[in-house]
Amino acid sequence: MTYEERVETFRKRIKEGHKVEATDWMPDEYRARLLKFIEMHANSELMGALPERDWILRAPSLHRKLAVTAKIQDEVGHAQLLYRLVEDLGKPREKIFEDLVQGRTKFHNVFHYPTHSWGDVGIIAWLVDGAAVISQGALQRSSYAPYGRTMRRICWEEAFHLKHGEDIVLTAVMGTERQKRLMQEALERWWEPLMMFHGPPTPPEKDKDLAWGIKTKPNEQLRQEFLSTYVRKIQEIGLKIPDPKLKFDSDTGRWSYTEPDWDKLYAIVTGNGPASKQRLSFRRLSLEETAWVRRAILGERAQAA
Amino acid sequence: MSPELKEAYARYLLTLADDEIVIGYRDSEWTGVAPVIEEDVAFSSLAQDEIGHARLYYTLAGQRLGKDPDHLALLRPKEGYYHARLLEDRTTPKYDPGGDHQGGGDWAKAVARRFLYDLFDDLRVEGLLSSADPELAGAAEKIRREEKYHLRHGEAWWRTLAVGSVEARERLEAALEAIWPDLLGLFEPAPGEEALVEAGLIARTTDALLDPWLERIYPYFEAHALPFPGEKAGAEWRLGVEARTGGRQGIHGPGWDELYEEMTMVRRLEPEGTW
Repeated sequence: MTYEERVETFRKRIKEGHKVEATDWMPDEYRARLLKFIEMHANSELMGALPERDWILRAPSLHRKLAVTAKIQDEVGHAQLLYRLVEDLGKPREKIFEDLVQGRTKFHNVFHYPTHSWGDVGIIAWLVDGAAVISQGALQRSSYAPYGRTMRRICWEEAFHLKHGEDIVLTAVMGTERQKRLMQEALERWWEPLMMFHGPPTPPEKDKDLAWGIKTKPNEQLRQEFLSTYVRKIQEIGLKIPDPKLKFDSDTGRWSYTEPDWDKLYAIVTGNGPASKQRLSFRRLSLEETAWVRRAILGERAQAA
Repeated sequence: MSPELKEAYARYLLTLADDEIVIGYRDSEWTGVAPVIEEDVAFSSLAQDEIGHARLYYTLAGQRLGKDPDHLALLRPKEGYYHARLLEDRTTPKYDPGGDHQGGGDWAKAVARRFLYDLFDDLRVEGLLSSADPELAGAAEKIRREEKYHLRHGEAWWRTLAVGSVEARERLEAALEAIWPDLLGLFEPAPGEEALVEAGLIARTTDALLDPWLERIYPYFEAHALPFPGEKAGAEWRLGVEARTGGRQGIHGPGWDELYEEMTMVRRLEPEGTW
């Protein structure tokens, strides 16, 4: 069988719903796309720890402090699971981090923004994680079986994050005017990044990750699901979504909304977001300051003193 | 319980709680920036345990003072916290939204502090198991179960830093040298501890834990020939370091100024609100 024929057979098997294991043969393009896709996901989990991490110390009660710390710990744990998949696909961890801090690889748009208040902590855990769960839910059926399995575990934990976030938001909107305002302002800050979260409405036939079955749902479908799941909940608790054009068309069964600026999204994920440089330089600093620890773990025995 | 005894007891419980919350807060900062991802997860768990212990102690203190545990944890005046000064310094880098981050993250200090504090705390908690207050004795039992894992984690890192590489060993030695005065500050007693011993609420005063602690930690230094600033002459330990005290009286340093500001910042927006 020629290489092309093997690729064709592989494509056909994926279309029929067969899953690929780490040790199976796979086309070069599939491996490369898969690696890039999962690496970006893993980077996002790791970089996603930073905006929320600022609020670990600031959480306003012992209960929230524990919940926020545990939640961020989960996210880092997810990064760990996903980096293992990337390592299995052939990229060593030091190289992954090197590429990340040099800006050669990407992480998700929502982690390129600053956080301003406790409102951001609630909105991130509820809605950013909510948007992520919609993508990740679909990824459970990825053609790459190890990724799908990891997603099942991650989604299970994310369900707790949504509850945690929803509870922070709900508690605040039932509190004083000031508390409610924290949430409303945070929603206004996060709405645009949330609408960009699932990516531009690339036609499914042009989306190669979709063709390879790495992901299973088109971007626009994910965004529509997000809106169907959350718009009503947001409005029910008395928060106002800052998009006058947002509405559900019952004839088409689809949401219409103000089209996000997709060039802006591209600029953000390529390292030009409002907090991209600060986050990357902080990640670089923390890696540099702990490099000696990794060297010590790797070995070079100290001279017996 | 006489009012004096009650006051001393509440103060002691707050001291326990403050130690645990402050190290728990400081160690939780490693979540997301630890040397290896596996350790982010591990160190964060330890920190969460400490916060959980602090909550137990604050709840006990709160019952005696008629106060809410969150109030005790987050709404006291800055000089009304009684943790040892050892625990209050940041050991991670600090993020600055403008990009002017502060470096100085020190994993060796974080590990040495946590391990030697845990060994101290283990002795202290041991003395609470037989407390005349069954609630405190019960809390101590629960806490001790968890602390066993902390000690195992600490031992592993102690060894890794002592023998992992020349560089790691140098950093561990430097960290130890810097924290010795504050380590001894752990043994500063809270006011009225003697009365608590008399009433059977605690087994030993905090300063009486120093010798057992030295006995306990010395083998870890000896095993790796790490410098130890003292020696045993007969039954007596002679130390070449002065304790830096004051923490138990509410006297703290810049590490506390920074931490207090951060940990109370959101709660202060609506101190009486539900969060």
